[in-house]
Amino acid sequence: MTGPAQVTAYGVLDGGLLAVLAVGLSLTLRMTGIINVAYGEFVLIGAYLTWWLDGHLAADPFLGVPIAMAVLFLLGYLLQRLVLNRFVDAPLLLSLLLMFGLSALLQSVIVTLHPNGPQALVTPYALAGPSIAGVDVPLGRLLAFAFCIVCVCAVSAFINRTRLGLVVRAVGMNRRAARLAGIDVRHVHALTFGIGTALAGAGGAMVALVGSFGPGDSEVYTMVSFAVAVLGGLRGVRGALAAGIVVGVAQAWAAYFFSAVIVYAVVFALAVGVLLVDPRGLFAARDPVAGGAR
Amino acid sequence: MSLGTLASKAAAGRADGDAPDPRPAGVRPAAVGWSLAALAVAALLVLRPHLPAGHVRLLEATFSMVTLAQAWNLVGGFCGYPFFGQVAFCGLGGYCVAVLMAKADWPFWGALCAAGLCGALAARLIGPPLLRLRRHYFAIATIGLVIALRELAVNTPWLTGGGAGVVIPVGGDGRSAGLPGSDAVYAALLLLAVAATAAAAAVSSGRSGWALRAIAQDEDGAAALGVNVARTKTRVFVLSAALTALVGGLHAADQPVLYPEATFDLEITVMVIAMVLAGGRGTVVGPLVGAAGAQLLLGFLLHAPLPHVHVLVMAVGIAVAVLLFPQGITGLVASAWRTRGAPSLSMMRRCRR
Repeated sequence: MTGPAQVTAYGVLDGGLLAVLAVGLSLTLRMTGIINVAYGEFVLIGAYLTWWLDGHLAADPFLGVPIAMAVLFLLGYLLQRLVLNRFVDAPLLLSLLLMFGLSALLQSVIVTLHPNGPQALVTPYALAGPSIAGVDVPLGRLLAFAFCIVCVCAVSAFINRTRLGLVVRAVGMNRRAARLAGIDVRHVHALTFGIGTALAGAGGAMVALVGSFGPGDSEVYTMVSFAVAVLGGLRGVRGALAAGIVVGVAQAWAAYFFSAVIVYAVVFALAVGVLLVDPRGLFAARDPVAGGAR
Repeated sequence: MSLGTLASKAAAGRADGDAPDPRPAGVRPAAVGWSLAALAVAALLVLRPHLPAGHVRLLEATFSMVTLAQAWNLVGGFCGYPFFGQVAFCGLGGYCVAVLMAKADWPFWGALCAAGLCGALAARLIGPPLLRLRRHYFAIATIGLVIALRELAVNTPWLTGGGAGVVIPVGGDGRSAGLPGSDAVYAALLLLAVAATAAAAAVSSGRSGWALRAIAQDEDGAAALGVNVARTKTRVFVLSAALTALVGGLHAADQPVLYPEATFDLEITVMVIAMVLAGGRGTVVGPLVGAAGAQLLLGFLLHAPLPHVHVLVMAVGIAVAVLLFPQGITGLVASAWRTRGAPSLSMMRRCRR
C-alpha cells in the first residue's frame, strides 16, 4: 500500500459523501433562505434509521437507505409546511434561533434514545474490493461514493431539467412573484426542505456505511456540510461536488501528514478563509435566494 | 481602549439625565430611571453578604447575561448584524485568563485585563474582513469562528490542555494565590454589567449610534451619506468583543477547569440573542430587561427533565413573541405608554418590520 496515494483515494471517495451533505444544505438555504443548523441532527437520524433497519430487517444497507430518505423527506416536508413556513419572511435571526432550538431538541431526543457510544454499520463487503496499482479501493466506500454521485446528479437533474424543478427555482429567485404566478409557495418550500433533509439522510446512511457515528457528532456534520457548501459557493451542484472532493482530500491529507485531530480545524479555516476572501461570496451573492440555480 | 472614555461619557450623560433623548422607540433614560438603577446597584452590593449562595450564583449569572446581552446588542441590535459568534470572544477571554494563570503565573486581575485586551485585539484583526460579509454569510462565518476556535483549543494541548481542559492551579487554601474571592467576582460582574449598559447608552445616544442604526436599515445608503461604514462597524465590534471577553475571563475565576466543549458552546450565544430579542433589540433597556428577566426565570426553570429542552422552549417562546411583538417587551410597554392604553393587534402589526 502506498501511503499518500491511498489517502488521496480515500479522500476522493469521502468527497462524494461531503458533496451530498453540502447539496442538501445549500439547496435549503438558497431556495428558502433558512439556514438549517439542525442539519447534523438530520444526518444522524438518517444514520440511525439505516442502522436500525439493517439490524431489525436484516436487509442490505442500500435497501434501507431509500426508506430512511423517505422518512426524512416526510419529516422535513411536515416541519417546513407546519412550522418553518411561518418564519420564511421573518428576520433571519428568528429562523436561526428556531433552528437552534430544534437542533437542541433533536439532539436530546437522539441522546435519550441512543445514549451509547459510536455505532457502525457492518457489511460483509465494506472492506473487500479491488486494488488498483497498489491502492485499495474498498467496495463499501466505492458504493457509497457511487450512491452519493447518483443522488447529487438526480437532484441536479430534478432542479434543472424538470418542470417542478423550474418552479422550485422560481420560488428561490423571487417568492412574491412566484406566488403571483399561481405557485403554491408553501408546498414548494416544504418540498425543497424535504429534499434537503432526505439528502441529509442519504449522507447519514453513507456515513454509517463507511465509518462510525455517535450521538455527539451532529454538530461536526453540520459544520462540515457548511464548510463544503460555502467552498462550493452555495450555488451549483457541480461546485458542491468539486468542493466535496477538495475537502475530502484536504481532510485525508491533514490526517495523514499531521494528525487526525487537526482535520476539522483545517476544514473550518478553509471555509472561513474562502468566505472572507472570495469576492463572489462577498458581493455578488449578497442575498442567497436572489442567486439563481445553475 | 475606548471603553473607558465611553464609560466616562455615560457618567457625564447620567449627570444631566434629562437631556432630550432622540431615540425613536424605547424608554427614555430619564433621571428617575438612572437614580433607580444606581439604587438597585447599591442595594445589590450591600445585600451580597446576606444572600444564600444559590441566589448569589443566580445573580452572578444574571449580571454576566446582562453584559453579554448589551455587548451582543451593540452588533446584533444597533448594527443589525446576525452575530452568532459571540461566545467565541467569551471563550477567548476565559482561556486567556486560565492559560495566563496556569502557565505564566499571572495574578488574576492582570490576566483579566489581558483577556479584555486580547478580545479587543482579536476583534480588531478579524472584524474588518468578517464585517464585510452580510446576512446569511455573516451568520455562518461567525458560527464557523466559534467552531474554529474550539478546534484550536482542542488541538493545542501544550497551551490549552486540549480536550482534557486547562486547570487553574489551586493553592493550599483551595484557591489559587492570584484568584480573587467570590465577593470580588460578584462585585466585578455587577460593575461590568453597569459599565456595559452605560457603554451601550453612550453608543446609542452618540453619533455612532445614529451611524449604526443607519447601517442596520440600509448599509449602502449609509455609506452613500458619508458614514464611514467599515470603521463604525469595526469599532462597535471591538467594544462588544472586549466586554464579552471580560465576562468570559471573570467566569474562568469560578471554574476549576475550562473545557473547550463547554467554553465554546453555541447555546450560550443563542440564549443571549433570545434574551435580547425578548427585551427589545436595538435599545439600551431592552437587553437589560430581557437578560435579567429571562435569566431569573431560567434560574427557577432549570430543573427541567430534559437537559436541552429549555433552549427549545426559549427559542419557540421568543419566536412566537417576536412575531407578535417585534420590538420586544420594552417596545410593547413604550407604545402602550405612548397611547395610554393596551396596544391593539393592529398596532403590533404596524411595527412589524
